[in-house]
Amino acid sequence: MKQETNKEMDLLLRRLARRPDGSASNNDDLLDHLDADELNAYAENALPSTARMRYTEHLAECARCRELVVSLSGAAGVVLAPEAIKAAEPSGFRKFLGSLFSPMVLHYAAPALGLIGVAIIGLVLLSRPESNTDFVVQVPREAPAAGNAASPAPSAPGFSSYDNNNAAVDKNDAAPKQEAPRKSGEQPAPVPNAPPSVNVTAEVRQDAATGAAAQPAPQESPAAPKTADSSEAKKREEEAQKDQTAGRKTVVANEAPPQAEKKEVEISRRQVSDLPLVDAQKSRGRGIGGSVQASRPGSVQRDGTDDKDHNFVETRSVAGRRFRKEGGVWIDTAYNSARTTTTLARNSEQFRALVADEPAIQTIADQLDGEIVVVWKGRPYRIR
Amino acid sequence: MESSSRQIQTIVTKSAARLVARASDSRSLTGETMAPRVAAAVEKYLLRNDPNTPDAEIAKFIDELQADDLCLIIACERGDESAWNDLVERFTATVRSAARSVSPNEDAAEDLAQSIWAELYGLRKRNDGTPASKLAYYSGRGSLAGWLRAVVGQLAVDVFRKQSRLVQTEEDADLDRLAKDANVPAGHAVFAGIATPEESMSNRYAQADMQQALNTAVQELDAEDRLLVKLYYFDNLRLREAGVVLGVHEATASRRLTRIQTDLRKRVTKILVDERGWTQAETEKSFAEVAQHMDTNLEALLSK
Repeated sequence: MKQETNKEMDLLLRRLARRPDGSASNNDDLLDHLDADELNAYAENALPSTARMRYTEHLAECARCRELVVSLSGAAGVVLAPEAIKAAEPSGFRKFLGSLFSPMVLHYAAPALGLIGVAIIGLVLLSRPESNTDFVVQVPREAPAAGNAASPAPSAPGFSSYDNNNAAVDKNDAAPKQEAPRKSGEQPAPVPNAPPSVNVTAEVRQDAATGAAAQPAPQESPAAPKTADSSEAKKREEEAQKDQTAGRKTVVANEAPPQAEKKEVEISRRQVSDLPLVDAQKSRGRGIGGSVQASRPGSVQRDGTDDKDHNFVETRSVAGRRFRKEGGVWIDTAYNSARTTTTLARNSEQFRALVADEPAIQTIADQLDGEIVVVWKGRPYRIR
Repeated sequence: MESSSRQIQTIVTKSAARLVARASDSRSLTGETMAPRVAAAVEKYLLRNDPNTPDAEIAKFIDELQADDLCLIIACERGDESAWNDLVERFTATVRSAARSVSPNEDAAEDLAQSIWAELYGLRKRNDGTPASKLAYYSGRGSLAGWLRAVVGQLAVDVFRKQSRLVQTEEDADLDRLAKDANVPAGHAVFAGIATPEESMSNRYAQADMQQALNTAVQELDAEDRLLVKLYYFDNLRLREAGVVLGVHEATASRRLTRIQTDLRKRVTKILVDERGWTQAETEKSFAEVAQHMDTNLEALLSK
């Protein structure tokens, strides 16, 4: 198409050149012709650019001078090298893009941008109030010893050793298991700096895929009416016994699901009397000395010892919150694993900001060693 | 202004001294004797275009002058006989060759060559009686041999111009006749059937419009592009020859010409559409028709 177009123009220009009226041709008689020196300098390409431009203008209009220059150029024998074909001049925007993506810029800019991106992502994640990265608490409980073939659950990401310990404990637990599958209820709003008290009952519900759930629930708040729940507790005991005889595995953690499957455990209100004692420490072959509180079903605050008693669970009350130590972690009895938990390090900026607003949390972190899961104003925090 | 003149003069004097120093045979000339000729060249080729030419550019310009040739010419102007002898000895063949190339025969070439030497020697007198020597017009910017060829060519043009014009006119007449034939109904009928008188007139007006638009578009080209068009279409040079005049390679000249053709078409279309009220379709059709007619006419001419 372009060839055809150019051919048409070629023919038209030839026709124009042959017009006798001199249009677009020459004005020889009206011009001051170039002298011999100018003609020769032009033909030998020996003129400064500005002068050459001026003479080019003249030559374009003067056939006589043009003719002379043509003959002089031929005689001069100037050798011309082929010109390298230049790429089309890119537009300003393209030049800008080209400069942005030049190797030099990429060499330094790409790593810098990567670092900046990582920093931004880190800041965003840290600044989020609720993190989804925390796992849900597993409160595994083995079935009663008789028919229970539960085995210690392997650690799975998202499960703390708390679960394993409980599994091990449950394994050794001969006491009937208490099951209280209940949906999670509302946690009582803890009063900051309130006198320590047993507050929250919890119940655990197991994922349907793995069987019945059986887990110890935190002790019930003393405010909760015990008598009303006693019949329910008995029912649970009966169910636990049935499970036991059926030989079903009731410990969730024993069937440790793959990482992708997280069993949700809801801890809701439950009577303290439903809770068996679990000797978490003993299951790991360690003992606990000192003044720790062991909670038994139905107990509010009780100091206990970790010895040969397999149903021993350490509990403490700090700053109006009650904590059970399970798997080396102090867990607020009001903790509901269904809710997303914010993980903080003790010396982190986020922790400092939190305790600045909530000094009671600092008290809790100071008084409880190790990892702590505390529910504060309805929001769970995991302090490491 | 005065200070810049003095400054330029200083630069010229120093550069002229350098020029004499680099000449293989300075012929007893000094920087002071060379300075006026050098200053004239600077004025002619630099300061006339740009009075504020930087000093470095002036110095560079002078350093690029042909030192030996300039010294020879100035020595000849000063009446140095040995310089004249050298000039004749070295450049007789060049002058004769140039004369032969522009002359119809050997005798005319010999006459022309003799006239050249007379011009150079200044046998002609100006009105005030001073010798009118063409040597004074040599600046040293180009080679002396090329300058002598240019002098021969200019003289030949004056002497032989009438004859060459006559030849061109005859050729043009043939082509013009053919071009006219293409416009008459009979010529037109050969290609597109028998046209009505209205169609013929319409076609002629269309072609006239197109030619005028093309003429305008050519005039609007920048100087180098216009020169290339003139060299190639009007002077019938080959692209290689046109490239030599422009100081570019043949391939470069070819690319430029292609670009020029494309640009001209766009410009002609725009003129016809915007100023003459044509439609795009009419313009395209007219391009094709005019080109077709020309193509056929050229074939007819070549077949004779």
